[in-house]
Amino acid sequence: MAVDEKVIQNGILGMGLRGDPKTGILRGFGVILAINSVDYLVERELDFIRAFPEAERMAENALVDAAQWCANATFGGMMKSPEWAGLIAPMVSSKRDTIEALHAVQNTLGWGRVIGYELDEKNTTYTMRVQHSYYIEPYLGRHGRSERPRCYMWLGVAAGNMDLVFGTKVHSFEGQEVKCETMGDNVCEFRVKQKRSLFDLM
Amino acid sequence: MSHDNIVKAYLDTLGFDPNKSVLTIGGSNVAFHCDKFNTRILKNIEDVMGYEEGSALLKGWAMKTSFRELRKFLVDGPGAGIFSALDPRGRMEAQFEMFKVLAYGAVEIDSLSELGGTFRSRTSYLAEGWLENKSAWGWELRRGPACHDMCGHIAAAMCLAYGKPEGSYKVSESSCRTVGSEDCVFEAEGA
Repeated sequence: MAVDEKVIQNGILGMGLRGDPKTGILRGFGVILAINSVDYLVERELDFIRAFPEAERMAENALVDAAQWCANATFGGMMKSPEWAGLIAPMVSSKRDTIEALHAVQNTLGWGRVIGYELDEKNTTYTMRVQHSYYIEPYLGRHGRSERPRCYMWLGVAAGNMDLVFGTKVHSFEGQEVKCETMGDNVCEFRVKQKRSLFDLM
Repeated sequence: MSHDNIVKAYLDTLGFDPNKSVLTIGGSNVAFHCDKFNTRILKNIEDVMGYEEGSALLKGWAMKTSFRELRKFLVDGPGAGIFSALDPRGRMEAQFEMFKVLAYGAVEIDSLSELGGTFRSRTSYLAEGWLENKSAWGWELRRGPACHDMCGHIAAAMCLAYGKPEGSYKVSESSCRTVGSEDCVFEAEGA
């Protein structure tokens, strides 16, 4: 049985995702969700980076790190949840299925759309392509074209997807955003590979 | 007082474009994120910038974006008719119902006037997330309150309740569940 994105999407959105009318808390898939303003998500990150003009890379890494942990804990938690067992697990029987199921879930969250990927299981590399990433519109609208890639959350999630698919600990994989719509590309592209251990370098 | 009508009008604006995977509510783009992501971002920003500066950044953007987006729905959009007929207390209650829809947690009014107010939450989203993740990730006790986002959201709501411009109120969190209090308490005052 192949992964059916539409079934997953309808299943998730059909859960009527909103905060509980009494507590205002939304628990599902083993996590606590909130519906955040995209402008808020993007501007807080850009402002954080702007605070460190001499150390932009360090600030960017802190954002990617948060997203990679998020991917591991959130989607790792989701994969153990009763909702996943009932709705998604019956469609999944390989690493490729797992990554497609993760894409299907990620495509329901308002983050933009994963439109393609390549997974090389032997060499443990992965390329993921996204359009309409939620960074693009706010970035281009307020800051104009960027000279560097900006989709920090997606980069962490791409590497996190590989941590999950290969069942390794968090940060076993690392990635790079090699194309970004904020730079004028027509797609955002993320390339992920396994981190080299000290042993590999000897 | 029930605010079912404003919640219904707000939910009626919920839309999902499957071709772009874009989610909207109240005319603004929104996205689901979980406690793991938001508390990690909170922690990384506070750890790198320092508590005070990190708090100011998060409060500031929560206030600006909430003000813009609440106003889009409640003043310039489909919620305008219902919202404009409410008194300031009703307007705050209505916005808190919208916060529940967004899964920010439940907030109650202890006191309220044009000069400011006191608000209380037992389920503020970031506190809930922090407490959930603290033991799992071995985080230490916090040095200060965690609900910077909620401070910004309440500051924006106060401006709209009293028909004032963005930035007219400042909100601080005087006690927080993440530092051992029973409730998160928010104090608003005119800026």
